[in-house]
Amino acid sequence: METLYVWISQLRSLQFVDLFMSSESNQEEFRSIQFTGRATEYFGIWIVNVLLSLATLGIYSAWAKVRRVTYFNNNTSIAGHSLGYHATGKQLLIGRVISFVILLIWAVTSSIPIVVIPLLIVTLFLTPWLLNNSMRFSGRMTSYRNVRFNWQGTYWKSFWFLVIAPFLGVLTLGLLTPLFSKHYYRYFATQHTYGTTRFNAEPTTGSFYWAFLVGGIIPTLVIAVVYTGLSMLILRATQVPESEVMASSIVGLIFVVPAAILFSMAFIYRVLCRNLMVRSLVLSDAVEFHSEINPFRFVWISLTNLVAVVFSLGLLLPWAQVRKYRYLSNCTKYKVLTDMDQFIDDEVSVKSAFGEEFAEFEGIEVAI
Amino acid sequence: MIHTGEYFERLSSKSLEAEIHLTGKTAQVRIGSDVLKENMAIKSIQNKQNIHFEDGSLFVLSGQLGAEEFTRASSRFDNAISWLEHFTFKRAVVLASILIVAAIGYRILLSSFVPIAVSLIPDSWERKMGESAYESVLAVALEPSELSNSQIERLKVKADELLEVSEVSDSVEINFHDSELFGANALAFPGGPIVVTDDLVKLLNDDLEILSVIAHEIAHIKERHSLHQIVEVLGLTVFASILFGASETLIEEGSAIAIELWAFDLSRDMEKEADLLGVEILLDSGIDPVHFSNALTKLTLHYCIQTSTSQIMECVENEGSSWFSTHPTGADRLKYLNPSN
Repeated sequence: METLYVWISQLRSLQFVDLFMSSESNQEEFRSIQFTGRATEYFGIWIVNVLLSLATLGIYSAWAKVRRVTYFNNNTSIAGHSLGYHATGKQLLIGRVISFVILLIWAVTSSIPIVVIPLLIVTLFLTPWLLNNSMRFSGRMTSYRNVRFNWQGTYWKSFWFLVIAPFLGVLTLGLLTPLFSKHYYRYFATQHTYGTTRFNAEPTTGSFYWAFLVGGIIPTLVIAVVYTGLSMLILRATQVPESEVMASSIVGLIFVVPAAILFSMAFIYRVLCRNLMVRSLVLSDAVEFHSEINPFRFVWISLTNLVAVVFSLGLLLPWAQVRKYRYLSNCTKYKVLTDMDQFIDDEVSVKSAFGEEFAEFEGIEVAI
Repeated sequence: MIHTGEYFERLSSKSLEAEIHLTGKTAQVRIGSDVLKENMAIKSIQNKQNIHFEDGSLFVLSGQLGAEEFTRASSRFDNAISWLEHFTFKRAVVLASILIVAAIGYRILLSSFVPIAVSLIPDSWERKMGESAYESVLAVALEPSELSNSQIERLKVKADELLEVSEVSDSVEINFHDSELFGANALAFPGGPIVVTDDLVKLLNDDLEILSVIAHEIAHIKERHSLHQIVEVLGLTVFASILFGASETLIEEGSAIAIELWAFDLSRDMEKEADLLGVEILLDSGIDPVHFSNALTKLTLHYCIQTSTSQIMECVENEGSSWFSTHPTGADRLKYLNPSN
């Protein structure tokens, strides 16, 4: 028993156990971010958004986004104050129209083979600019206690931390992925400001390697072993010759292993990384944050949401979104250390939504 | 009416306990008996609690605004939208029903709109798309044909007759290529060209059977099937992105898969259409459609030998396509091509 305790203590010191749970003393001091939205209430907003967007051939979708984000922000409460959202439908519509026209030209010209490679290069170099603009717009449109958030990322740093490094991580067969992930998440956290005050985060590299082992490698191995066992059982039951059973199972693994890696990295590893980032996140000496999202519960919520949405022909989408958002809010905690009156904003004005809308059209985003 | 709450100056998180007096779309803020600000224009009211002013300041009410005051302080547009959004079971049922009817209506509208949209796209654009796609495929998956020149020329001359009979532009080229990737296959690019692989020629080993497959590909070009598919899938994608948004990765993927399945179903319908039109082209050219049935039988058997490790006959006789098939099964095709059998 004592050996077990020592073993667990050692693991805790390596932040393995902390990936999933936090100490009791921590839980007592931190308070959950409150989400007071209700699925029935959001259903009204969602269905009006969809109907008006359809009726106006998509034009209303800009105002629909404002209604949706405003609803979620307004119902997200930290220390008794809710978040605000300040983008306007007109702003978003202009951004969308410009993005749509550019993408249309893009789509037409990309059918000319000679233009494909230059276009890919342009897209690559445009990505950090789009990400910076998107996050700056999103930050400046979000407020808390009358102070707006902001994004201070620079072009070349965003290019390295958010575009090149994650790609290099894949090229090293995952060996450097945890190291790059740490810098990716740290960069995301530290380049955000609340007014003029920067957030800070110092997660350790070791904890990201543990997250990679627990959230990436082990689930992949488990899925591969379970698949091989099941496929061999099924093939034997269908009286496939013994010589073909192993060959068929191995061929199947060629497809199953990459899918398992993608699934584990997208749903388990990513959640663990988010936990690690938020746990080291502080806002000056005023607020500390904590996160205890259970990746398995998160996967369960995502999958059951998908089933509910499919079987309700989309009508349960508002319920699914509220359910997921509420879980993420409840698992994200904060501790206010001093009063919140000290923060001031600067005069930075961001009017164009082009970067945000173009990035959204293109599916370019910082996945946290 | 006077409310209590917290007042935040512009650009500051510092709160002051204050009172607010709302008069329509303007307000007055007081601290105790002192008037702090007057005639402040309201920019927006969020959550019926947070009043944002045009000058950048904010008043957070300790409670929520009453419905009447909220209506007076908001714009007509916001009020109309809020009225629609207000949840009642009856309204939810009505709106959900409208949505379902709208979705079905959109589907029907899309079906009638697609042929119109396709007819508006000039032939020259379609041919450019086809040529461009052909060049891309040529670069990665097609090699020069190893068939003899005389065999290629003979087949081309006969294929030109089919093109003439089918009234498809004679600028459509029939190209022969060796291809490991496509195996025994024939492909029709939008507006042409048509690609026939060496493996197909060797497998069928009969000019009339090869021509019957070419007739099927000509039918695809004549009906502009590729364009139909592109426009319809684009329409469905727009609909799905409005309905589901782009914020939920898994749901976004789910809707993309649903669209793919729809596209597969559409593709199976188009294959059937091309089979039947191909038969008409063959009849008009004086070729017995039995050659097409023979070609399909050979192709089905070849596919089953290649892909199935056992039970080849079961594979050949299998009826009913899977959701993921782009073509009807060989058995299905032979059945509707020879209904008397």
